[in-house]
Amino acid sequence: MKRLAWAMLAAIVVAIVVIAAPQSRGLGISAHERSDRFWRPLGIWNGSWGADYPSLGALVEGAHVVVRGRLTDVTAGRVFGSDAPSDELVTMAQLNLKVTERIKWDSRLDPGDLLYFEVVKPTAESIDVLRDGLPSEEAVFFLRNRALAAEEEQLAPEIVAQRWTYFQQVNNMGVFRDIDSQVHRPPDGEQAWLDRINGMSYLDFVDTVRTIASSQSVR
Amino acid sequence: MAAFRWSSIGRAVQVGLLTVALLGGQASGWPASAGNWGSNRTHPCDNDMFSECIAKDGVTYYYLGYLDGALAAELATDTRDRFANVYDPIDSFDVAAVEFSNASSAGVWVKDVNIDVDARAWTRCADGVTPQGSDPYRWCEPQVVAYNDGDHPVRFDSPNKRKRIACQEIGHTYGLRHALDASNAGPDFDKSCMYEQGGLTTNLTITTHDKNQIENLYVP
Repeated sequence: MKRLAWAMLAAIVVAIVVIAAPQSRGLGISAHERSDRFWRPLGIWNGSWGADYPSLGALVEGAHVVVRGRLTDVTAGRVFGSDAPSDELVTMAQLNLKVTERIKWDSRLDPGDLLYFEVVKPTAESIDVLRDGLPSEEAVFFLRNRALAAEEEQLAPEIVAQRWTYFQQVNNMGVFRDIDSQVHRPPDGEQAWLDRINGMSYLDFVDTVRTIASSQSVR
Repeated sequence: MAAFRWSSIGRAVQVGLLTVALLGGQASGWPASAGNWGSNRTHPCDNDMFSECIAKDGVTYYYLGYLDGALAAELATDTRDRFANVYDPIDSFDVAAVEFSNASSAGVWVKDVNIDVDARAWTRCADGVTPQGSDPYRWCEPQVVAYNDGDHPVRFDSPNKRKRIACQEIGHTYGLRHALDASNAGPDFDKSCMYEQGGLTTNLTITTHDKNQIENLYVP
């Protein structure tokens, strides 16, 4: 019986090792999951987008600005529409993004160090809840300025004029995070090429984005 | 003694493997979804505004009376067209699309809205509706199809643009997701209106694979 007990104990230890090993390897994965929990509800999933981005090069080209930085705060953002049955009430949350490097920039934009990055506020979560879950890691952000987007659609000048300070991520795929020095792709972005980038060296990724951005600006 | 040792080790290994299997199963995350259909592929169906749910059953009673913007008549015509010519032919599989004249009992409300985002349209659960069922069959009723045309009429300025968008949003109400590649959405994935990289005025219908995805759920 004593041997049986020892054998059982050994088996349990083996089981714990087998289970725990991937999890200990995955401390970064846990950080990734924490970050994903923040980002995942902020996208528009069942959406039809006017443009798609089948490669990193296309994403750089489609973004008005590409910056490195960290989020510092969340505040209430613009409110669109109404709660009338025929309308949509969409409330934005405004992420304050402290910019540390402008990889791609548009000279028409105010080059401040703080950039206001809008996301759709999840219906069920308050600004305080979002603030509590604010991820601390650096990321490369691919953003579209709302005034430049309005210009592309030839909207009225008065509409364009109201939108210069607002940015939104490109589709649902505008945030590439640095977790444990590796790139973590946008949560749930649908493109297969995002998986190929996932896990590469973050600094190598930044260099790649810089190279693409500079080649496009030359062109 | 040796026999005893091996049998006890064998039992212990069985216990260990069972433990691994159970804990591993718990840690495996969302269930795999075969194909571009279901409520659990990207953003699980929950109370968030842009989560992904499916229709309650194969019959979609839709209401167009909330279309009230400048393009209301055109959007109604082309939405009606896609319901009738793309989805209602799945009728032989007990899927139908019926236009209702009042909102209260309709399963899909179609609206035109004006929101400053790049998304041209989206599908979601109506406010205050609690999703029911379990993945990948979590459903809500009514669902909202929102055409974001307000400041952006250029997004909807031709019948084919409107039909393309209507085809995709109606597909979302039935639980179809974006078609990404052949493994996700079948051999003709790039012909479907669920394929995001298709042209703005092409891909006006769904594929046989898409229809089969719907059929697999809604056939009794």
